[in-house]
Amino acid sequence: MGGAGTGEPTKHALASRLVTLGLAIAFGAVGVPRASADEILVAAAASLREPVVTLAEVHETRHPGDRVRVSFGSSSSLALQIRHGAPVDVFLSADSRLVDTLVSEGLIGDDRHQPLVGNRLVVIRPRGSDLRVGAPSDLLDPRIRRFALPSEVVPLGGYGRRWLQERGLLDALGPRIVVTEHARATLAAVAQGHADAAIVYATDAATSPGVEVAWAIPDGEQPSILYAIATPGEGDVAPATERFVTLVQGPDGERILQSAGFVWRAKDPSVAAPIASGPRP
Amino acid sequence: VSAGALLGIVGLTARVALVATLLALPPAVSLGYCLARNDFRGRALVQALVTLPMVVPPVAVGLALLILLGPRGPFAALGLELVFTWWAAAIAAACVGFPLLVRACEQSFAEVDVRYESVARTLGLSRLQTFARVSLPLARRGVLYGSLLCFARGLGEFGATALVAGIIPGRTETLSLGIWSRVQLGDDVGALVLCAASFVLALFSMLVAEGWLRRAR
Repeated sequence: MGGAGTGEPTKHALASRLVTLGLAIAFGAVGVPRASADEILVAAAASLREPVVTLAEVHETRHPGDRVRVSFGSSSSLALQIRHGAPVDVFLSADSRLVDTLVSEGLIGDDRHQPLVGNRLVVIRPRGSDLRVGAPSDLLDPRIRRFALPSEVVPLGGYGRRWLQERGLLDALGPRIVVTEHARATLAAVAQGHADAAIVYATDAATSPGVEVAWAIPDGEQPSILYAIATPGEGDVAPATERFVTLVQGPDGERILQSAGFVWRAKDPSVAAPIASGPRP
Repeated sequence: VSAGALLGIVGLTARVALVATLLALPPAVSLGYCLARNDFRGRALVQALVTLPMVVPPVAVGLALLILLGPRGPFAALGLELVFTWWAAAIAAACVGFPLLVRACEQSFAEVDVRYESVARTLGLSRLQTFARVSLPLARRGVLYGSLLCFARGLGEFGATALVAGIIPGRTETLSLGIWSRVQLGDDVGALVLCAASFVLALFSMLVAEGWLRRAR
């Protein structure tokens, strides 16, 4: 094992390279994700972006030891991640049925989910577009060459497609649908002019200066949209998670979500007791 | 994007690509050496199989890893919870970059004259010593170049990573995942900031790597 011989300069170069590698790893330590005990991961529907960011900020201000990380996506892809073992502490789903499925699969305890808010659908067009929509059949206007909508597994895609189906429009509109990732991607597609129209949540339409409401679908034609809050897992809820859920379901959550345009559906304590103090078997 | 968050994303991206390369190196070097030194039936098949992770859609690799590393997979049975951690991102990047590394190693070992190894053996070095002190140093440029390719592939990995690591800010959000999620959320400014950061990171790492390659000559 004597050192000298064939590769002295080479060894030297290799050693220096290894040192540099080590330094690089150490430097990379800036980006080392370290999950602390009071760090919670919230998986939230993309359509809840602004209010959930605000709620996370309020939470961190009020509980300086807690850290709230939020992963936004389509509720269906977030549910899929939970199914595959993602360490999600709080799930805010745009469709309560996705939560029900996770409950039936045993991934969310029976007493660990509640309805949260309702929403409405609107038809949007890019700002400045001269598209006129006053009835569902106007969606077949030839000027709508591309209609943005997520696939049916995504909550918005499900709500929107069922709504179109019930009016006999889905088949005719089908070839013009560009499939988007989630509610916000649908909004962005219209805001950037990639699509000529879309069905989105009223709350989303209000966040973008690039779109305008072409038709506020009247009450009688609105589908029932229900968001839910859940804490995946069984047994005791971690204290930081409980604090966040209490905040979302409490008066601050109500104020912040309502000012973003959501309809508060967690009012009645008999229907929606706070998760952590719900009935236990 | 806050400066702290940006630094975190860039640091995590570099770390994932680096760890991916380090994970891929030992198996890739040994496999590359075996392929270069042995001619056996089915060698072409092994070569083709090795290349697969690079040729099949990265999402397919991601799905395979999701099943393998997931809660019902063999790694979970060993108590390793890997999915949706940055380790999963590194493993995904290692799988996708592995073929590049193996092929580069194979190539450079094939160029090492077998006679040097024979002489080393007659002078009393064991197989392992011969490999470590003769073959590997002579093939170092190819190995280094392969590592560079693997690292570069890891910096931009998206498909497999998105599936096994999710896009969790501060935990698994690398540059490519961050750009994609921001574009989807309509945050074009944030996406462009991350694009600029990835440009800087890529340029910086390639310049450093070029320097290494030149010194290894």
